Amino acid sequence: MKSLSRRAMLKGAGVAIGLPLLDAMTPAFARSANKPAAPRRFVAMCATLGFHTPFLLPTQSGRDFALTPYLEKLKDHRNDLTVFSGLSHPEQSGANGHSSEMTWLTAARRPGLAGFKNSVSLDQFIAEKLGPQTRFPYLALTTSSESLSWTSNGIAIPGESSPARLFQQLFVNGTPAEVAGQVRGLKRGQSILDTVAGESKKLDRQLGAKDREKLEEYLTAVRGLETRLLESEGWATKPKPRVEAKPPTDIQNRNDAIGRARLMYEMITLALQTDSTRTVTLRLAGMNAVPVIDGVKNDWHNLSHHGQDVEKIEELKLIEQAEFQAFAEFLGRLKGVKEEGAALLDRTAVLFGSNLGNASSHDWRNLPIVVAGGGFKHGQHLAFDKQNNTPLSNLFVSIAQQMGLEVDRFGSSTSASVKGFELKG
Amino acid sequence: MPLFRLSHIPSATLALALFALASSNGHSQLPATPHIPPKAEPKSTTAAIRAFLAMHCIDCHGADVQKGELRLDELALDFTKAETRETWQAVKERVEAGTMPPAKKPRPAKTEKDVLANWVQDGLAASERARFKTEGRVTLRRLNRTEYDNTLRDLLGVPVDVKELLPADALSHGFDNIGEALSISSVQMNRYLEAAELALNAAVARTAKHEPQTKSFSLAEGRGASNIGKHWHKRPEDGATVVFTSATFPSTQIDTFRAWARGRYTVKLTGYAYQSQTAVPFALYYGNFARGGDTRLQGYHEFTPGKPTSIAVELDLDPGDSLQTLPFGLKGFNAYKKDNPDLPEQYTGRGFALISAEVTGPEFTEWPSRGHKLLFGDLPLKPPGKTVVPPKGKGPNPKSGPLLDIVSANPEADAAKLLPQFLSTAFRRPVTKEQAEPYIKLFSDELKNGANFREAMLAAAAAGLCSPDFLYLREKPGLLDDHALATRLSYFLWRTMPDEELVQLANAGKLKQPAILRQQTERLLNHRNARRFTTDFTDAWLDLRNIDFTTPDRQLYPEYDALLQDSLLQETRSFFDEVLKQNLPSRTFLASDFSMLNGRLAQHYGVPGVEGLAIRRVPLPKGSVRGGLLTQGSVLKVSANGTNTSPVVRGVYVLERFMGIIPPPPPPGVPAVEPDIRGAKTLRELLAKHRSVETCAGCHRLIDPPGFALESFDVIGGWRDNFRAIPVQPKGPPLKVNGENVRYRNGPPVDASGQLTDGRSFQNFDEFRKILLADPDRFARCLIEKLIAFGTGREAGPADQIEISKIIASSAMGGHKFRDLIHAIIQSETFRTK
Repeated sequence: MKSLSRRAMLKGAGVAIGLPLLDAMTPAFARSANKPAAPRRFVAMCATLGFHTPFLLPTQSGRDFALTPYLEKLKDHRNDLTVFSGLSHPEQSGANGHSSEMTWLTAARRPGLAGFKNSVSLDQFIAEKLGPQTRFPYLALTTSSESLSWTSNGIAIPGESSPARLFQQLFVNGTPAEVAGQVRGLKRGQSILDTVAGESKKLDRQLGAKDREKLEEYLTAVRGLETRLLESEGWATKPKPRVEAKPPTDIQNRNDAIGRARLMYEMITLALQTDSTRTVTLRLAGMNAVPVIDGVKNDWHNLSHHGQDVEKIEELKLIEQAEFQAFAEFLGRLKGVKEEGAALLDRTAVLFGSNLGNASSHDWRNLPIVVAGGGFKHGQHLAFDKQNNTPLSNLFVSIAQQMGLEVDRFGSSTSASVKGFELKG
Repeated sequence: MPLFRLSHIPSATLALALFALASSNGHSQLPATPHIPPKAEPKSTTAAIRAFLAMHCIDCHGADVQKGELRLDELALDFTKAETRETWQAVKERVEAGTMPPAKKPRPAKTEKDVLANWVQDGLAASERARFKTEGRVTLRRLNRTEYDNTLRDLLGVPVDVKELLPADALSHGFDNIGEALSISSVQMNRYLEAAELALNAAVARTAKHEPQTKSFSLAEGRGASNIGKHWHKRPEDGATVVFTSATFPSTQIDTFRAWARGRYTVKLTGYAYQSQTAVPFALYYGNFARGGDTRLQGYHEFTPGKPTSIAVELDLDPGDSLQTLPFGLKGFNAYKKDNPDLPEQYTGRGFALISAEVTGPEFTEWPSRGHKLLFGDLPLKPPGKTVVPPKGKGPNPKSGPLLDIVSANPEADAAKLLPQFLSTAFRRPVTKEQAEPYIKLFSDELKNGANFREAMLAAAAAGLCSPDFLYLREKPGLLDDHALATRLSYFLWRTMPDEELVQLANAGKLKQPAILRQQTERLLNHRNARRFTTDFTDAWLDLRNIDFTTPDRQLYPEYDALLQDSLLQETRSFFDEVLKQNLPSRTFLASDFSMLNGRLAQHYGVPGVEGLAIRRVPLPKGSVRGGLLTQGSVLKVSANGTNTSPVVRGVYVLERFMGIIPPPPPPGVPAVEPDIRGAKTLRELLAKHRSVETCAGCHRLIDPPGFALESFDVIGGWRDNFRAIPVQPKGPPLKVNGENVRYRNGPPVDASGQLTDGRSFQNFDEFRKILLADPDRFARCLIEKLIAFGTGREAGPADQIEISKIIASSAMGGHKFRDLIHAIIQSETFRTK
């Protein structure tokens, strides 16, 4: 463990963040001439192989809980976060034990079973409501290929897994010729979409109701992309924010899950502090391989199915402690960046957890959930009924509201708030 | 009148919860002869239904009590409303499956059940048929990403890999090509646009033709040279480089080879097994071996002892791709091992000797590519006026000189001639100049906006590839026209657009003729593209696409290795091919006196006398439990999780995929049963408590027994008498596998007995298999339904049952021979109608 954190610090030093803090920068390209309201952000991370919750969840609820092995890693942030237990989405029995990955941010029921259609993920819901205020309406990031994000009609959004490519998109300005080429490409794209939109309107009017639905969905997709390309064209000619961080080098070793997550956390911090986006999701993918962590010798997915084998649980602990360590560092960064005198973390609701409450039995109830920042009153363990879980969507509504959205329901919410979880006065 | 009162759940989810039931076809107990619906409902039938409900259902689902929030006394006896249809479907399924009425209540007579089942079946079918008349059976179906990828390659004739660009497609009962389930979003639209532009640019010839070259490489060159005399031995006799270990360091990449252009290469590997009595297997990888680069396994091969032999394979390579030959299962000399002699040449153990890797390519089936010819015809390629430096990292090697470009003396006229031709091929039906007008206009606009001829043509072509005519399989209600039929047939068996021959037959209006349709089906099945049918269909039907989903636990299953996994997949696919090729009875899928094995599989299954890596048909020894898909390791692995097996998961697997019964999902609020590998209790014992709960018992009586039958097979398909367990305090001497101590011990004994809902019981897997075999029609129906779902893009429903029953009846004589079934399905009205 020791050598891991040392290496991580070195890596972190490579991406030194010496940014002019945002005090001096009004959020880029705000449309209103008036001083805009302070931007609010949302970041969500899901560890798809779960956490061994006896090492995470305190036995006591309230403010005086004793630190558990995983919360020990977060002790510096104890008063900036809330630990939840007894939350889940209803009816997540799906096509297989891991299907609830698809619905962690959507709450759609019976994932993957016949007739299943996913719904919009919380980040996309927020991004749509916020509109195009930033260069990127959202970032859907991952340490593998799939992301946590789903469009409003329930289609997976492929994730970005390369920090280097992400950095390029966020901060590297093209040469004039490249920008011109990009603009030409965006215009061409719009002409192409215009042509096919016209074509689809001509299609047989005799179509049955279901076919017409499909075609309308197609048209909506085309129109949505046209709008997006037009917005991108607007941004293409505007200079990107300047950061002093060096472009990152992607970690090639696929099994270095923690190193890859850490690099993504650094990119997320940069993206938020430059107001390049307001919502970010990061899928912390588990894997069928041995992660590069001292003392870990077995396949990760397999360790998660420990079947109560003590040796396996101890190895799993090493992996999960490393995940919490990386998360703690991320929170530290968000706290360190100040915006108009406030810590970036205070304006960023960070949702961290898993879609599995017990990975060994594929149980999707009693999810491990931590929320940090976002201007909430923190420092407690909110424990809900283990038998009759509270909908995780209730928490999602609270998060959406802190983003300034006027909403009172999301997914399978039964209430617009979670008891005991409030914004600071 | 909500029938299911799920008070704690918003009503919107009701439909979803029920859908899982409703989409099952559940005609498991249908009589073999089709039941023809009577024109008018005789009073006696409705009276009988009412009587059935009153006798068997209303006590628990009536005005006073509504168990499961289900009320049946007010349920309308008709099928006009979707909600009512779904409820009737669910009622029929529960009654047929025997899970309702519950065990302790009096059983309805079979004749009573049949009356109910037939009435529901007829009602559902009639209501579906009415909708098919106006809307067609299949919902407008988008190409899924596999079909899209295949189509783009075949249309343009370039080996581009765009599948990974696209989001994964939604599944419906394992099928990823069901029109209704396939949606589209603007994110996805963006990927289509990117993929189209990428593939089109790759298709355009911008250099002179690369003539194929042949070059020879060896392991002893480049970085490999430093390993000679240290880790590896170079034999002066024949120049072979001998590697003694399967360790991945030092790398056995053939370092000096880099593909010199994009295209297809033939790789010929020559070598032998060194100092070995037996063949030495090796894996061939290709791709980018830089750290983090993408490499792929081509497959496993072997070198035999004695004279050198050669193995030739064809590979699609990108510029810069390299090769690696990794010997398998060698644990011999390397310089870091202490107990070895000092030099590799002194080592006396087995080795992998590679003399040469001879590479020829790129070989083009067409130059310029098909896409280039479709778009640019014979227009000349010329160097541009000024030198263009190709962009870094893109396009051909800059060393090959300035890029060429397509020259048109009369751009507008050329576009008007060429675009309709391109679009006709892309849209899989004739496109007139008039229909191509918007694309021609796009071309002109682009030209006006400063694009050159090539760029403007590519923009118009990209629009074609983003249009609904390309992305969706367009069919009109009623019988399919020839082009739609050609398209459906081609996507069924080749998973791609129709080829030239199909298009010509469609143009001539001949494909509809049964004899020609049959002859084309044969042609497609005999072509190598039909491998895609085997792969994609078995991926969906048997869930083989998830073979990688879990890695078997190393402590519990130390004998599992990558070669075994590769062989397991090959076994099932070859087995499927064999049944198809030999036109064997469908029951062969359930039980067979042969299997498709290589040495590794034979070792795994305990079949003597099979050596080497080649998969071949092997007669199974008398008394072997193997034979049929349910005994194949691939199936047993995908239905397990790498550590343990669950009778529930496997039970559902067998019911859905082999018996055509879709069991209802678990009700909300059921706690998960946590497996324990320490060996105290089996999952079956842990589940017993769960099954004793009355609300769970009904469905578990249906679900669990087929899973119990498979308890004798472990997570990698090995036979077991005892579960493997890792006890907290192991007793007795350790067990050994392949001569090495293992951590696991023999745990509790396996109990593979069970009883089906109809009362038939079995003591072991073999007896369960005999029960399956006793009802060949049921399995045939299940198989036909899967083929119809895969072939048409819509799952079989009540209205399809008459056609299916006809196919079952007409094929019963030969035992529902598999190839005959495929022909019968393609000739059926269901297949030939939208």
